[in-house]
Amino acid sequence: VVTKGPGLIRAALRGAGRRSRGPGDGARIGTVELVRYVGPGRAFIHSHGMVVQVTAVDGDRTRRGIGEAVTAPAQSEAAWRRLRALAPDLVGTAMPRRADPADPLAGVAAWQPVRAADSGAVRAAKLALEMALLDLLMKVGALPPAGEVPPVAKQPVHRMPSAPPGAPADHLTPVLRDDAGESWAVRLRLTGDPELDLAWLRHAAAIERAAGRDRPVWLFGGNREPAAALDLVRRTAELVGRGEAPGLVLLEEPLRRGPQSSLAKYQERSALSKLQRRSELSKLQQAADEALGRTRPGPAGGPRLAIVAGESLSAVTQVRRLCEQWPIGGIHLSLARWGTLAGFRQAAIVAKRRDPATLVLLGGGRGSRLSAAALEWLAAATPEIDRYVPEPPPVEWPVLHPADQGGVGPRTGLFAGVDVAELATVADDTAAFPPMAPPPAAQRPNRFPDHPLPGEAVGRRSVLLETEALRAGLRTRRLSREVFLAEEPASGRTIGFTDSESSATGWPAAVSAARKGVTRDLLAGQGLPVPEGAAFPTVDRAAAAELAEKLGFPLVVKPAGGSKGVAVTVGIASKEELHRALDEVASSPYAGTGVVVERFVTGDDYRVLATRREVLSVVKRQPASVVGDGLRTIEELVVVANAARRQNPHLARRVIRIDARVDDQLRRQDLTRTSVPETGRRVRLRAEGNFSLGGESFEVLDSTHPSVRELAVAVVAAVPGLPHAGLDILMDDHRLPAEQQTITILEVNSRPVQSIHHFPMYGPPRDVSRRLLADAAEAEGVALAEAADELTVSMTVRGRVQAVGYRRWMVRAAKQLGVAGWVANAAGPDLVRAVLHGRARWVGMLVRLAFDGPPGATVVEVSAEPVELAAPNGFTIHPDVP
Amino acid sequence: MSEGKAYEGVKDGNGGPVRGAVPSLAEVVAASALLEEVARERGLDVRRLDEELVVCGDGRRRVLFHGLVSSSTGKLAHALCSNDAWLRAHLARHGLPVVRTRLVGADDADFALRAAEDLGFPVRMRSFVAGHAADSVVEPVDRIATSVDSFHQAWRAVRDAARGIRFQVILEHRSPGTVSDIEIIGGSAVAAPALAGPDREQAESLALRVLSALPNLTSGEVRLITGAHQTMVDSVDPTLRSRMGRGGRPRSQAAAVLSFEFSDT
Repeated sequence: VVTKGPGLIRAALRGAGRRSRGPGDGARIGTVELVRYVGPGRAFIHSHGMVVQVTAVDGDRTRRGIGEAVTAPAQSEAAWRRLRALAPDLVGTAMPRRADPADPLAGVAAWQPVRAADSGAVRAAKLALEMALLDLLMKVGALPPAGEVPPVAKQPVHRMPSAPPGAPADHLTPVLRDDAGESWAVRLRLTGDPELDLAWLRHAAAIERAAGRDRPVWLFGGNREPAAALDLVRRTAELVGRGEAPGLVLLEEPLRRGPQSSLAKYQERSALSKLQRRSELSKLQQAADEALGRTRPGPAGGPRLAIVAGESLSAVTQVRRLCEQWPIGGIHLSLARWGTLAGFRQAAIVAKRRDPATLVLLGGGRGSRLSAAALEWLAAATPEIDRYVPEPPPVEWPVLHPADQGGVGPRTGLFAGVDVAELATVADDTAAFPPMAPPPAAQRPNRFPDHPLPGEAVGRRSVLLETEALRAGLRTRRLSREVFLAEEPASGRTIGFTDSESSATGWPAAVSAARKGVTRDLLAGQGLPVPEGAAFPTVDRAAAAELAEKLGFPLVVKPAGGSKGVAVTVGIASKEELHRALDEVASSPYAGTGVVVERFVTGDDYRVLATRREVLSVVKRQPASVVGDGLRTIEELVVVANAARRQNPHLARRVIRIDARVDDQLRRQDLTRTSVPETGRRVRLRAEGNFSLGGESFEVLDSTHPSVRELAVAVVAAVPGLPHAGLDILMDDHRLPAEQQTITILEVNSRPVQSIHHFPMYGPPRDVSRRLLADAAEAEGVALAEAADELTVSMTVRGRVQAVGYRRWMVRAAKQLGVAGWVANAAGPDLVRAVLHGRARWVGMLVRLAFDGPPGATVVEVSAEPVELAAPNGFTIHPDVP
Repeated sequence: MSEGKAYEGVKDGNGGPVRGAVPSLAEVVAASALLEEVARERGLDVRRLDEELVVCGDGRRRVLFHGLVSSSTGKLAHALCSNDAWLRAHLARHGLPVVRTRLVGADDADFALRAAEDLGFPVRMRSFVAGHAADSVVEPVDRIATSVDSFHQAWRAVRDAARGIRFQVILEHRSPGTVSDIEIIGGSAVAAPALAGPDREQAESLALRVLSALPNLTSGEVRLITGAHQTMVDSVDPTLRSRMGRGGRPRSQAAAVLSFEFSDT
């Protein structure tokens, strides 16, 4: 084992680096590694971030540059594809010994700068690479180091009320009065009504004066045509001239925006439309300057009304042309629109050369601390940028603190590194150039390539069962996230599920299955093998300790009603450990359920899904582990392992988290997070096999011995009223006869997760949901049709679903899932109807997601019924239906 | 009735209390003890698992009981019965007359008011948290509104209970009527204390249809409300506990449950 310093995804660079170096060369890029991670989102529509690490070797020294870019959900796939296409070009590229600070990447031969015609996805890909190269240039000494960056105050944004100051609906005045004045300006979104907007401008200025401040007021938004914009500019200039507004007022993009129709919106985004708007902006600035008697270029002093170009600007050439006519009052640079840090610097230089009075404002960007740190550096290192004005982030992104620091501190480059343990929890895909050798076939996990929602867990609650019910021709009605009913259309006979617990599950059976102590007694009463032990009230520590004394160590302590391994401690070897384990139960959410103390038994860990007649699936669980490749550190191997888990619909949200318990396991193996295990060595990360703790799943039904299957069936039959269950069993080897090994039944789960069996990491997937549905149907005499692969369903959604963006949300969700059809508001204030057509699994998923809906919606019921209709194309919003 | 006041319930023929959505621990423990006693008297093997659960019978037929509820009663049926809005919507789809009810989110007063007006005043409003016992997360709300003004007053209690938690509110139309509880055990009516004659037969027939419309439910107590024009289904209690709380010890109830479960033994 070799221990190295922190890094992102480390490869052995010696080979690549030496091959590509020539005599007298400086640093040369040996590898480019990429990690895509899941950003914020809701109802499976997520933004993504992309982290890049370029590694260069200079003699015996290795330097790593790190970059990041983030994308909107719609652009994630395209940006990731483009990044993977661009990254290989950098491999072997020599880094210049000295870079021009004004155009630092000009000397990097393989670098492709952002062009005006580049799409958002291309810009994001190029930004991530550019940031990494800038970081690398600093670390190899070609650019001055970033050094300390002073803290920056956030620039909050306030929306003007659609009522004058002092009206009952005025929520803004108290906010402005309470403002501590830490931000550079007062930023206000206009209403679009000029009288109201100017009244608020005067009011805001008065509040500022009363507070003894004269901060600029920065206005933006509102819809207006050029003539109306000109009028607003002139009237605002008059206020500024009369001293009724602050000495500096910024008016950003005052022209028409945000039209209603999709076509108009599309046209508004076109290059021609933006060109026309930019041209108008110059005229508006000229009008403002003339109204205030200013000449351009001219001094920055005196009252000013600065027209600011923002969203119509995305390239340096545009800034140049904008300043050629009448210099614009300001430019507001946005990382999401521009996709380049180097371009910002050039734009700032161009604008300032034309007129030093032009304000250059650098906006914040979405993304992790990496993006924030890069922008802070750019602002500090570029004198032409007047202000760095990041807004408070509207949603939380993963932080990705630079490694070993609580924040960005002294450093040679943009970043000291990245916290790989944190990155590992959100990584959903990786790539490396040159490519890493793939693991042996036996170590390659199952892929589910038709899964349209990578990074999303689609086995949520009873969705698989509801889909099967629709496939079998039943009508479904979802009442909550857990409960749905399925009805045979002809007879009205009803079955249903609470999670995976069917209508055939008896109430007492479900109650007993939730109490581990009771289940133990039931099974023991039938002569079935359970570990020796007992259950106690959590407060009765003395009794628990007494039993522990009697049983002897090692022991297991767990909550009597817990799940997912919460507060379970295994292998307790001393009284101290016992009391710690009891404390953990007492402070867990399951404290009220009691505590179970059992003799610790060993064996491999299995989840068996069985009915009272047969075993449907056997999954062997192994604690989280990684296999060394001789190149990467353990935490880097975890990033790759988690990316594979994210592609698995069952494991996507159950990733390996590198925490103190993992460190403890590694210590026992004389390893640390940054150790590089040799090729083929399996490193165990945890003691527990729970999937939620990173456990791996191997489906082994075919090789399970018949006597083991019989035992599992007997366990289910031992609980009266239990039609099926997920059994947690410890045994030596599932292939051996039951009588030739030690088998222990640990738990009986009345509502087991089925997606474990549908989506194992290794071994054949088992369609257990169909079997569970068939059993429930048989119990109630419900007939099932042959399962359809394609479905057309008519769906009704009830609740607060109108005027909350429900239909737009459904269009987006349907397109993401590849489902065709339409959605419409129905008569009555609480109904939406839809027709969905497509692959059964994704239609079922959309029916399930319809219960969640967009923020603001409150759904109380979703009904769906298979229908025979001509297959629709695309997914549209229909006019209202009856 | 004062505006927006707490709901006190419609009085049934026996002056019984308004039952909650889920039985209390004390109710279950008492029922379980009674069942154990009667089962032992019948000579059944009885094994107590905890204070609420017993298993009766031998290898040939073993039945698990939680209180008086046997393992042949489905948990899903319990879930349906725990929310009157779910239950009534389900029964209405099976053509059964039910109290007019709407389920709304607790975060939109205007939407709820429109629903209440649609139902017609007086309207009772109760909190419900799907997937949990309502009173474990949200302070229970049970109010009656007789007009738009009193609706706003009552809704304040909903808003105060919410404290940022998303939950649902059951709105139901409340009109005057007589309440009767029909007890069905094993598919047969065993008690309907408030009724007699043809009314009783009609009510029992309706109660039996109610239970047959619910998945995997053979025993339960159906509460009916008979108004001026119609008898409607109000609720179903699968835990058979209405008489447990009245001081009586309904041994016959436990005996009927055991007779149904062990009829062939």
